[in-house]
Amino acid sequence: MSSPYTLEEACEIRTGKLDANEANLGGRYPFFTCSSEPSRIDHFAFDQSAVLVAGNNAQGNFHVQRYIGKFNAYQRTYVLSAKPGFELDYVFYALKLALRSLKEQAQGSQTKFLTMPLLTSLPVGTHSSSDQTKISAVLSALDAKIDLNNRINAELESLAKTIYDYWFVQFDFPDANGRPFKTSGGKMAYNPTLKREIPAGWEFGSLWSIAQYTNGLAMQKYRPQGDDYLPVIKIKEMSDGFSPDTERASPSIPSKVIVEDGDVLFSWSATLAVQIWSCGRGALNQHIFKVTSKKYPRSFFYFELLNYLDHFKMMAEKRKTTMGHITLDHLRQSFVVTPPLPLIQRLEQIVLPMFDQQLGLNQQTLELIKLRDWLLPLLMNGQVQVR
Amino acid sequence: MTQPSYQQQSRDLIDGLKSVCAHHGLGNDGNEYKIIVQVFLYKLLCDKFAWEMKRLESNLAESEDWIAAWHKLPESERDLLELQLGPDVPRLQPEQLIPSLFNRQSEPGFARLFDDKLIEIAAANHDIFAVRTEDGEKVPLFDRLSEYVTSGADKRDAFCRAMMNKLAAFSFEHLFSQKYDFYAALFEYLIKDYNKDNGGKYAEYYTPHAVATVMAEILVPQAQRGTVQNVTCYDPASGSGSLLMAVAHAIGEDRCSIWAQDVSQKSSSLLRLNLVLNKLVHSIPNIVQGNTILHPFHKDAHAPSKLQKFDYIVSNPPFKMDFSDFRDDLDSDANMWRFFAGIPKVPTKAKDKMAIYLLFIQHIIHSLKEGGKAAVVVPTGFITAANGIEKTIRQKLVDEKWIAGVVSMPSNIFATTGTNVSILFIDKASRDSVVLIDASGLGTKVKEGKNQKTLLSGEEEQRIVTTFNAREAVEDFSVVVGHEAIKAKNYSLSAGQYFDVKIEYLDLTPEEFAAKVGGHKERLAAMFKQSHELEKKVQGSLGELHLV
Repeated sequence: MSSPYTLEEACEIRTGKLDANEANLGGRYPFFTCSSEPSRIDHFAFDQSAVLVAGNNAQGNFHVQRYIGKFNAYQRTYVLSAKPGFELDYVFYALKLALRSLKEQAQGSQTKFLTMPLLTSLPVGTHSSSDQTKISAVLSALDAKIDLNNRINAELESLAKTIYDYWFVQFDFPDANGRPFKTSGGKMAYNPTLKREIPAGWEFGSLWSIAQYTNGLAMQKYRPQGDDYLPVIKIKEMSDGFSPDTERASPSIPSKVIVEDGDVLFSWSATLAVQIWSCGRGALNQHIFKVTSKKYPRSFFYFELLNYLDHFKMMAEKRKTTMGHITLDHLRQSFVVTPPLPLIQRLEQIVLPMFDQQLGLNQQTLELIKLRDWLLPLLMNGQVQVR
Repeated sequence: MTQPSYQQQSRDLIDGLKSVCAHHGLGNDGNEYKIIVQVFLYKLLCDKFAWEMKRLESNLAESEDWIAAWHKLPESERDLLELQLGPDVPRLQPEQLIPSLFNRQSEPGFARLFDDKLIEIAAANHDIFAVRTEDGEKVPLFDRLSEYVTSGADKRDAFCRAMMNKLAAFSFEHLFSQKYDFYAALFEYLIKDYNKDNGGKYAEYYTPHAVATVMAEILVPQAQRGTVQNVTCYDPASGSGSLLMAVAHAIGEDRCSIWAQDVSQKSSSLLRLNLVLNKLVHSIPNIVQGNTILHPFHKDAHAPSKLQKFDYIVSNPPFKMDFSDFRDDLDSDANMWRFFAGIPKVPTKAKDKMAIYLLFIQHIIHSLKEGGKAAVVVPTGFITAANGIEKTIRQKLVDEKWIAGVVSMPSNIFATTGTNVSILFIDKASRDSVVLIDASGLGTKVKEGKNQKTLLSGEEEQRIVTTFNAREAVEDFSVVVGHEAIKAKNYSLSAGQYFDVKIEYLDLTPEEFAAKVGGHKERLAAMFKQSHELEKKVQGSLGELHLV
């Protein structure tokens, strides 16, 4: 086996020119900084196929990203393009692996700056040009599917929300003749508690009255005894899913704090969020509610909570001098319209397949990520070959 | 060449005095502020005296050397002139005035002469210009300043000569026709070097101008200006008195009297200077140096066991302080009525973090007359705390309908503290509703030294004041709520708790709705198709893998 070629041999390396504060949230082009997600900017300096490497990061996580098109970059971000005979996708995967091990090697004395000499001397690999193409095709097919799954789910989420709001916020649900209720002149009446017009005869309740809220437990009190365990769902897991750092709890915790895929979770402290869980069975930690209802279908309280979320975030912000959370009183005083049950059930029938599809895709995505992360080192070190 | 502005000339004088101190080894010495403040005051009194004398007797104003001319007047005429001087004008003798001392600066032992003259002035004007301590002792106007210079007599003479040269360089007489804003800016400039956190106890002697303005404009709305008179204004933790000056100016300096107590010696002497600058000399006898919480000085004239009550109270009390040596002394039956909501505990791990402001608020509520108005700066945590003394105080204010409103200020409105603050407005002429303003989104952030600071523009201050005084509800900015509603929210006084819920959604026509759903459908169809292809591709490529 020949000695691996370095990044310097495989790539042209440039850096961005801009200060990080030139970002503009509403900008037209992606702006690659040192954070995990690109920001936005109004003007571009690059128009190419590129790999982007973040040059500094306090935690030693040097993010690598792949982008094709017009973009701009921060002065500490490296912009890589392939030299002739090299496959840029392959470089991208090789770098992902190399930087992951760089972080592991640097344990304790964390590397905060990925300097040019450090970067240029990174070993990339030994594969021939045609093998590079084959390997990156396998991995990028997985990534493309993961990315597509996420985009499909965003579409489905937005679609279901559009329908929900059209029916129960704007009140253009189909009337007896199948026409939009409010637009076709359906009778509305002012509700002084909600301070708005709602369909005549409709009732109202509160977030508290339409669902049950089960608070999680402090899971450090329920450490697993043997090898059998449940991963603990904290706020971090709600945003990133389970990871090797995820804490473990005993499977013998009370069943009401065990979470299954499809459960509605609502974190009510620090970071406020509402989501339908899809990362597998887990143990619910404190500061997160599992929200259930015997009476109403899930879509109803899920969307009502979601619609109140921005309001809750604002209130939590106002209270930040004392605490960054909302209280049961807020739930009791958050009034919602309660449409007639048959209508809610009709809507549930429409959005349920969307929810199920999202759940299925999320489960698939988790599987794909596992596969990709397992294959990556095997393919790069030559243990596994592509025919 | 244009003449530098009065503002600039006064600032140059202050800088000049400070540099003389620095050259004589007094820079950053604990006594420097005494010298600067007293010398500045001496200058102010001399020029004020000259200005008043020339106003009374036009012959003096026209003469080339007015002091000589005055000296030459027959004794009866001089007495008559003195009788006509207002009660807030110091009584001075010709040889005590700056030009007279200036002419004698080459005499040996000049420092001694200078000190003697200052002491003479202090003694002759004791009744008007002395500040009291809580024990009833009087703090004279001037100290023997040259004695702060610790090297020999020659050095002291040189020091006094240098001071004299600065003082004689220009006249303050034009200063007396200036307005409040001019004095406020000048005073801030004068004390800027002494307005620091020394040892962490007394952080800020000067409340930001924006806070003072908002307080004064809400307590005394423009529409009421000129109608209020003969009222008392009190600050139990006055500092240098910037809040008192603002409210006195809003009422009219000649229509109110100022009452103050502050534990800091420095504060009392700064406050005295501030009163002289702001034509409030008549209130100097009401300035007391002492501990308001332990020994409130101002008592009811008819019932000495009771506190004196005031028409207006403004205050920016210290929030936290080590009170551990005195705390238990306070916890007595005699104080039960004053501290009705309780006395905060001293935290065991951080003695200096006792929430002393809670005692000040209670003291203020007690010191306010029926129908009186108060404005107090509190940490924003006070307005939402779910229980404890904070809640008991809020409950009292709401149940008695004494609360007029709250303005929550932007963060970093004080450069020295990151604590968010709100201004609590108390009004004992009960109101039927409460105005809550959330101004936390206003202001422009600037760097001041190492600290981040938020500045409010004049328009933003006016927006707060106008909204409050009109008792207006403005979306995401202010609400007007009834006492029952506040009770229902656990007596929270945070505006954000009462803002209407806004559920954001796009109002769609049936056509727009159809188009939006259609767009989703089309994109999803393409994605599902792509998904199938990718699935095949993934399956296919997995089949190609083999272990070496």
